Amino acid sequence: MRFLLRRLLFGLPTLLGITLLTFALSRLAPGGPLSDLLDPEQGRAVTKEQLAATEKLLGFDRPLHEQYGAWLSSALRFDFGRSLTSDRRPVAEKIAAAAAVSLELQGAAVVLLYGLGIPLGVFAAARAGTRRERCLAALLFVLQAMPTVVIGALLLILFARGPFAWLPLAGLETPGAEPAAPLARALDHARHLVLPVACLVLSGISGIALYARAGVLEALRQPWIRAARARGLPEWRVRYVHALKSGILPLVALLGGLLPWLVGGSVAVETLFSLPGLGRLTIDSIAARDYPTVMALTLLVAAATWLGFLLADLLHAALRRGEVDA
Amino acid sequence: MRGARPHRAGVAAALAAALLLLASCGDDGPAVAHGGSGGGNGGGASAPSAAPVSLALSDEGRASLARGGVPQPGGTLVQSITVEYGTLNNILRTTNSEETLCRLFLFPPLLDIDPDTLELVPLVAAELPTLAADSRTYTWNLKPGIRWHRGDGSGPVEVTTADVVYAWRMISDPTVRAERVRASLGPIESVRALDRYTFEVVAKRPYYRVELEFGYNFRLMPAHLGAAEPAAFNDDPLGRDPVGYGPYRFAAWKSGEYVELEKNRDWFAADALPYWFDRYRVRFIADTAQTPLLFERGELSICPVNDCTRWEEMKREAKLAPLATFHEYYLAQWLYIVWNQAHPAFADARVRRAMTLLYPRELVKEKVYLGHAAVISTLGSVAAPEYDASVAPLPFDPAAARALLDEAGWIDRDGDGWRDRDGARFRFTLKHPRTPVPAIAVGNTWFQQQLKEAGVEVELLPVDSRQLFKELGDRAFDAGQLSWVGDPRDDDLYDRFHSSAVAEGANYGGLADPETDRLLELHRGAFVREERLALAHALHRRIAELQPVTPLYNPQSLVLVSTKLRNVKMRRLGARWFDWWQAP
Repeated sequence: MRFLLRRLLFGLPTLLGITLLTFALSRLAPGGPLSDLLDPEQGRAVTKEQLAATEKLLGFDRPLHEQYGAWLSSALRFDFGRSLTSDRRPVAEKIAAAAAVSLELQGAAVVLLYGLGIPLGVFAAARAGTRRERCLAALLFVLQAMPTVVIGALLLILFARGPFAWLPLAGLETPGAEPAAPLARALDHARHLVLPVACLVLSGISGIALYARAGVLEALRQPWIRAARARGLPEWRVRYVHALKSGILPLVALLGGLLPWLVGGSVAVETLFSLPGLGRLTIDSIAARDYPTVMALTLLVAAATWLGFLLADLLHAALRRGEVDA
Repeated sequence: MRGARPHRAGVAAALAAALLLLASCGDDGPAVAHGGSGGGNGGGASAPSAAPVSLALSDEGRASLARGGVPQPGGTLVQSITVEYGTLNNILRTTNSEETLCRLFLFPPLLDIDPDTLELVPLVAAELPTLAADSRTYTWNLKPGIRWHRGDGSGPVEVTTADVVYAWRMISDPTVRAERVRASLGPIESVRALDRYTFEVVAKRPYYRVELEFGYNFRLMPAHLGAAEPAAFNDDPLGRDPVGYGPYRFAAWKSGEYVELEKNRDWFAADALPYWFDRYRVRFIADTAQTPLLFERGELSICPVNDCTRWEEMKREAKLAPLATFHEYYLAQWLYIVWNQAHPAFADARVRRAMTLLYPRELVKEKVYLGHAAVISTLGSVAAPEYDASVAPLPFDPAAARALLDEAGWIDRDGDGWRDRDGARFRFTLKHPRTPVPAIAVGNTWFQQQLKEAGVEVELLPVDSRQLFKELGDRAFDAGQLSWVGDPRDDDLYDRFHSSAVAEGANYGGLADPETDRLLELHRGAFVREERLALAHALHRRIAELQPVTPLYNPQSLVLVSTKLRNVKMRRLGARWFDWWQAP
């Protein structure tokens, strides 16, 4: 309990510091949300007077500390303002819409990453040194070495035409499709998720599997594993219960780190497959110098990171306790 | 002075209609050839033709182009853009892609530009406006019987001068986030309704472009549905549920996926602009590399390609032959380098001329654009009537450049390999946008090499485009590389080259030439087109002589069109598909 309180007390100033730093950095970055109004290459340059009037309208003429104070005061009331881009939607609404996409995409990927990666790692550890294990390790290393964007591009090329062309390449629904029953719509939606989720899984699975392999290999060398075998426990129970329980501890810490990844979205995958998730929203907001959205996104990811590590610590402690109890 | 500056992007976005734009790193520029991935074999290079070219390489493609027959209503035309629309509020819209959708399909302008002849033709206006003897007061008449897509509770509502006055009130209010349209309509002093269909527009001063600016760039919104007060206008829900009066009406906006329009059966200009497709869909595809794949699968009807190498490969791919016709044409977009005349070297026209002679533009055209660009001699499209084709671009001629630099006093006096004058070495920084455009990256590297061999040191500095505009405006640069989307007709270079535009304008280089000023002023006051053309050609010659900028290229637009479409033809404004239809 004391540990939790300490973490909470430490976390709040950290979050505050992060927002302050982001605020300062966003204001220091070259250009601003109104810079494009100066772009005469599009023939739309406004006069300096017009620009000053808009800056006043948006409060950019106020001292920076006042601007930060105003943002903080609103943020404490969970009011993140409106986007500075032309859609002028409430920031919270924009983020919620994008978060729904990212959470679905990344959530499915995490389930598959762990659901497939851990058994693969245990399999590799149990057969360490065999030809099959070496083949598997080589494959995992190749995947590990390939950037997500390359895996995505290969998937797109593979599934664009020919016998595999039945999977959609972009978006989350078939545009122009007649209104269909909920089940048909859900299936259509799921079909659209196949390639982006596969891309995330292929690009992340080697890390999970190699972690699991290393952890289980290490556990299998421990004396208590020999003792378990000597007691006559079945081999599957030795590997998948006793060795795995100890071997996946590093993966638990990794799971905590995945929370910000879940919340932050994947820029590469969302761009490749044209998905309107948080990754793209972040990049687009930074490019547009959309300060309110950038601030809210930073706060969200920072909070998720902090929460993720907290959860990882708690899980880690719980598993340790379980291990000792056992 | 900037306030009086005409709005160019408005007209330019009509060009962009040609392609329904790509966007690059946040900017919605029209899709044009950006060169290949470098190198290349120079194939396909040919003398530029101002006329659009349609290349149908297969029998099916040829047949598709040749097939006329009876128009078939129905079907859906699908295009893509890279960045989702922010708003479809006709007054608040900001990007070129929003402009294209609004102007062509939801809120047509008072005057249209004929896509074949580039002449101004009445659309929502009953006829061209009449100009009073003061050369400032224009009287406009609206066509009666044009109805908004959504009426009020009592029935259909006509487009009237009440809408014009309402829109003007919103545009003029400084609290409405309509900075761009306010800037574009800067030359307008007032707008006043005379009766239900007639209104009067007064310009601040006589200026030939007022008719075009107001006719083409004024933006209507429905007074009976829009927010009554400016304070509420910025967040008006009509931005995501637009109500127009054009050939298509808003049907759906699936966030992050697409916008869909459906045919307006009450379209008032159906005789001239029939628009045969029942539906028009714009998908948001973030990755431009993906669009050719979607096109091959039949998910897009029209697909711009901005990689010349890929384009040439596609033309050779057998699998594309039955699927696509290939179209190449010039839009009003060009690249150039502006020289800051505050730099000790660039105040001298001989030095600026030497820079142009050292830039291997033809080589870039052949090796990077693979011939899909024209080297230009002023800021203008080779397809525009204002472009004087008799003024040839300066050749690549290092020997002549060295002679000019010697003549200007830039000589390697200390034998260190670099030219100097008055004890200062000739060096400068070329700032260019941080974009992965091969023509910029490769061309500048070759230019740097040529400069080095000529004894001039240059640093190539990629800059965030938002920062670049600011530095250009602050004159904090030696040389800057830019692109410009201009007008298809009647471009006004006043803001680029007039001496009064140095303090606040786009005359970044600081050119102050009395003869150029005189020509620009005469041009602004010339209401007769032929006179303006003669002045534009004279100005072209003057700019080519002074070289305040090094004009680089006018790239071609490269577009695939599905062979399922009939009556396909490219116009001087590009892919305007109002008379195309889909094969049954």
